Amino acid sequence: MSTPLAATAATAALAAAGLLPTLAVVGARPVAVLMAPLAGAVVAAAAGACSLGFGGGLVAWFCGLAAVAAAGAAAAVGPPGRRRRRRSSATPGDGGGRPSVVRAAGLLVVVGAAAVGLVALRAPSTGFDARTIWLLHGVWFADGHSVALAALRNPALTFAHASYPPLVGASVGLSWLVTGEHSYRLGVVVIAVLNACAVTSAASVAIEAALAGRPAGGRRRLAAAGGVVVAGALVLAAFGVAGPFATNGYADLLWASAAVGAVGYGLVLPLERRHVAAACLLLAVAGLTKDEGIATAMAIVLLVALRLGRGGRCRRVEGVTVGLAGVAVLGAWPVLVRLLGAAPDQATIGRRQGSDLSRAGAAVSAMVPHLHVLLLAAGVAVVGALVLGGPRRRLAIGNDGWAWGALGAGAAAVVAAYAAGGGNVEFWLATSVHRTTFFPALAGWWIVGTWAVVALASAGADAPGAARQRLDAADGGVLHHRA
Amino acid sequence: MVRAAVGVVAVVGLGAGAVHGARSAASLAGARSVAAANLDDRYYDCLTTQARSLVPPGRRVVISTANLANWGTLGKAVAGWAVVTRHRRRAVAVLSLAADHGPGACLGSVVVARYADGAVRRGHGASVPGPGPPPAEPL
Repeated sequence: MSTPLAATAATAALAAAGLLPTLAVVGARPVAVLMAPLAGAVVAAAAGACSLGFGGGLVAWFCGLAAVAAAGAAAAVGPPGRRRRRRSSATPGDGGGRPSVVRAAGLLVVVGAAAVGLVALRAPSTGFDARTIWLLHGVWFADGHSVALAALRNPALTFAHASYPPLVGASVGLSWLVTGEHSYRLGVVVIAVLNACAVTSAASVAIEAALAGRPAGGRRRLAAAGGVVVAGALVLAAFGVAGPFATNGYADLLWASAAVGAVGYGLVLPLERRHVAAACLLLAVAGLTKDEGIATAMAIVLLVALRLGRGGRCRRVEGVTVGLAGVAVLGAWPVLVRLLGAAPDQATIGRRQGSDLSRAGAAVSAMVPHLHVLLLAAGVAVVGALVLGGPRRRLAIGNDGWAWGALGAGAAAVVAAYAAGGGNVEFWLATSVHRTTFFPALAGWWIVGTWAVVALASAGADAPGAARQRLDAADGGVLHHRA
Repeated sequence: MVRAAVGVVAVVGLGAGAVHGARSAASLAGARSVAAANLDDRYYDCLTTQARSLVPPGRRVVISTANLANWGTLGKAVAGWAVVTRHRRRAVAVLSLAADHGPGACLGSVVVARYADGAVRRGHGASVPGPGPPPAEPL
């Protein structure tokens, strides 16, 4: 089987497992096509964790958990009659009429932009971490419980970070087992496809933001077209931020863009149940991919819970529930690997040098050259808050402070890791800081994109009724229940 | 007017980011990148073949830490099919990389195994001519 065919089959297998849960989460929208492989990768991660913890093969666990997830999704959505009633009671334009055309056009644009980024796959690059971490994890998960457990406990494999979360390794291992094509090349391509799915899912936030308000007449078309164009530009900008790491088997873009998508769905778009659910799915992807993803995802979960909880006692209970459940789920993997006796992870080599403060200063200095976009984002955000704050609120788009809070929390987590970690911090920074700044850099681009959408949408007059209705949903308002 | 300016600045900034991304991808797909990636693949395939000529899959090996760069390189070639350990007494061999620019080398390196009985063997079965190592990968 050729690598493109095998990659297609592997992605289809992941998408098949994730499709029903995704449809239950986001509804029958084009973005479900982008999120389904990610949801399937979450199922694969759960299968990998179960195989590691309880024994049994990866494929058996994957099929079983996919069936359970599909049954749960079907039960959550309900029978066909109930689905029709829900659809008819949705707000005007939801899932039908022009918004569906805009979403379909947006899907084509973001997929086209991702295809431009994936052109780099023509060079069969297999990066350093791809060989030492992600593809090795794929080998262990594909080989089954005993091999994976032995690797996790092996202190000679510190360079392989065996205790990293299982999403990438399990997805790669599954792709080999499903296709019978045990090549590193297939693993690299599958990781690149997952990267692209996460980036395009995050970019779809711009399309949803453009549809959140309802400017009248031709201005509405301008806003919608602007949202689609911004989404495509964000995809390309993300590939620019990641450079070679988007297509050489690295997974940093996967967790970072998933986390940025979660910020968009959970902290930027109007508080609707499907948006919060989409944020939860993307947070699961971020938290099951890399340790930095766990820390950042936990911070985002707490911010989403805080935003949810700003609407009376009932909403506070909901916010606390989401926060506690999110932290518990995201913390499950670190607890599991400790229970299984994982060998200590070694982030870098050499003796620890410098104080916490000096290491934090070195980290900040090294991060700055990769975060120039934050200057643009800060400028646009400050002026935008002054002149576009009203239109932003009328569009029911969350306060920009939420996104900046998530960005700051993610960057602070990275600085804290460098400050408190071991080894030679200069060497560690030189070999990783480009990638550990993906999340704040992407968040900066998404902040710019959101203000661009707000500016385009505010170019016309809002329809007062729709705007007021949406305003109720903003920042801790009514949580709409939709299919 | 100021609102429009905010929109223009944001869109122009995004456009610049998008152009950078597209150019970056096109550059990475260029002939030089393709050649470097192919050479890198051949190098690691060569090292893997040589190591497998010395140790059967699934057996325990120690990867020599005498040279940190070689340790990392050999780890990438071996850890997928052998059990890497720190305990020499439990391992069938200690694997290391040795400089060798003659025929039968992988870009100027050969895999060498030192067995528990004191025997030393060079890996064989594959070679990539030329000076090494391959171009450094981005980190």
